Amino acid sequence: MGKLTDSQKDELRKYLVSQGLTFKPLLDEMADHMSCEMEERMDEGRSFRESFSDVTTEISDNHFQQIQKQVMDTINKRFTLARAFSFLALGFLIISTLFKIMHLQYAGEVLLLAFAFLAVSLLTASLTGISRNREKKGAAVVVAITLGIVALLIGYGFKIMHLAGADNIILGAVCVLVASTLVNTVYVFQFATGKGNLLTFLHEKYTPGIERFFFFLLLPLVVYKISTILMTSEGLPGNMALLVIIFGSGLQFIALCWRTTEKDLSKRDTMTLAATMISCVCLLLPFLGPLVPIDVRMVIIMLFNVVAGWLAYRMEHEPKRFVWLLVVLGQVVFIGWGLIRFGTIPASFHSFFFNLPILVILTTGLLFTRKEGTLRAYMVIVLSSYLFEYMM
Amino acid sequence: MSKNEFVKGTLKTIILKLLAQDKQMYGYEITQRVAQLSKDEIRLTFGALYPTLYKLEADGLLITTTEIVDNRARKYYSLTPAGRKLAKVKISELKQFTEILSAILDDSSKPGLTMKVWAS
Repeated sequence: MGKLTDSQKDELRKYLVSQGLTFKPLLDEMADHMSCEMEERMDEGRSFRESFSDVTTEISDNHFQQIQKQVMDTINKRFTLARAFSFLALGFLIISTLFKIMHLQYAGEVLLLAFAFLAVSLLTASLTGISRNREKKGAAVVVAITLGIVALLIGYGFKIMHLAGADNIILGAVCVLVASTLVNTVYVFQFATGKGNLLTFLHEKYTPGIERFFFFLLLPLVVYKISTILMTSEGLPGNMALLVIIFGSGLQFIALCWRTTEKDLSKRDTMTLAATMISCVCLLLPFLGPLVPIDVRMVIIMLFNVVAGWLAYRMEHEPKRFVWLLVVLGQVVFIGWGLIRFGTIPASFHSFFFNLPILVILTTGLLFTRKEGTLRAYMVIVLSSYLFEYMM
Repeated sequence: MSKNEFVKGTLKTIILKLLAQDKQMYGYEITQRVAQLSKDEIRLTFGALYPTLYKLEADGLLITTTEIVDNRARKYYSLTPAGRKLAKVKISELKQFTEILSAILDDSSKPGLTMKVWAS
């Protein structure tokens, strides 16, 4: 049977994107369906160009957009308990940040409520996913990662309440998360067929919701930060909501790398495996806080930004040419930040790396990478880390 | 009324029936099987097939797995236990309905019968 070449497959995908298909699972499915149809026609003696024309001329204008709308409506209509809890968590995170900005009482208590709903949402989504997909493998890793995140939220909750044992819980949570993400990374690289891996399957299902959650949380913080810079008033130093975004988007970024590796054999090499493992470790270790010496933490954060930037670019199929400039900007800013903290370059350079134009460029970077999932996740991490470190 | 409009109301059952026979199928395979079984009388469009597949999946009747075939991702659909149960029910309901429909369409009784019934 005739097979489409990689460049022919690319042409088909570009056509589908030009038709307004943006939801990746549906895009993949349509690309496979149309490839099969074209290959069948090519077997009958038609050329690639003729088959392409045959298949695409049968399709009316906006047909794919209509299908995508119907599919998205179906997905969005599923008002699950997990979704309800995540909305509550989002609301409480925003309220807690507002309380902090306005120096009101109970900001900490509201934040604890947000953590509780976040944990319940995650547990509900994971347990439902496991029970509905018993045929798939990897339930243990899903449980481990879920429990790791929940334990981390409990640990930080203890920290906010100044309770004893917070550091031990956080240490345990980070160890579980590092171990389980590394195990899944190796599993994905060794047995990457995408068949039956529960973790990546569930992640694909929840991706639109996860992205919306972090976007809606990050946007008001960016607006607030820009307004404080313009009004030269006091900004919001290292905020817990930003830590939630960095952590969540970091895990989102790693999960997207797993999924790309599962579906694209060309991405499966030693360098990518090493970069994914380094990203897992370097994302999670800084959440140990004072348990890791500050100098070591800074090196880890710098390393994460450089390695994850490379990995994000590597994982994309054909990113826009100028997008690498955004990646390099993210890497340079955090190398500069580290060197200032280490005293290698003078502190007066802080305003060279942290200023309104760079903040605006990084924010618009989210728009430019809206069709590139892994790069966008990286840009969300960079932007939220940038906001977190701006006043430090 | 075109064939497509008849298919619309029964597509869910057709998909459930095909998946009940074959353990797992992908989108293109479903369209090919329908075309083959209907002797090319029914050609499923993207717009009919995929929203229905996503709806069945969202309702917990189908599960999916993705495999790499010829270096591209292929999504396979199969029935969940709830999907298998519903498939039996829907197939039996549709068979019953087609029998009723056949009885109506094949009815060759004379118009006078109606008056007879009224008169009795």
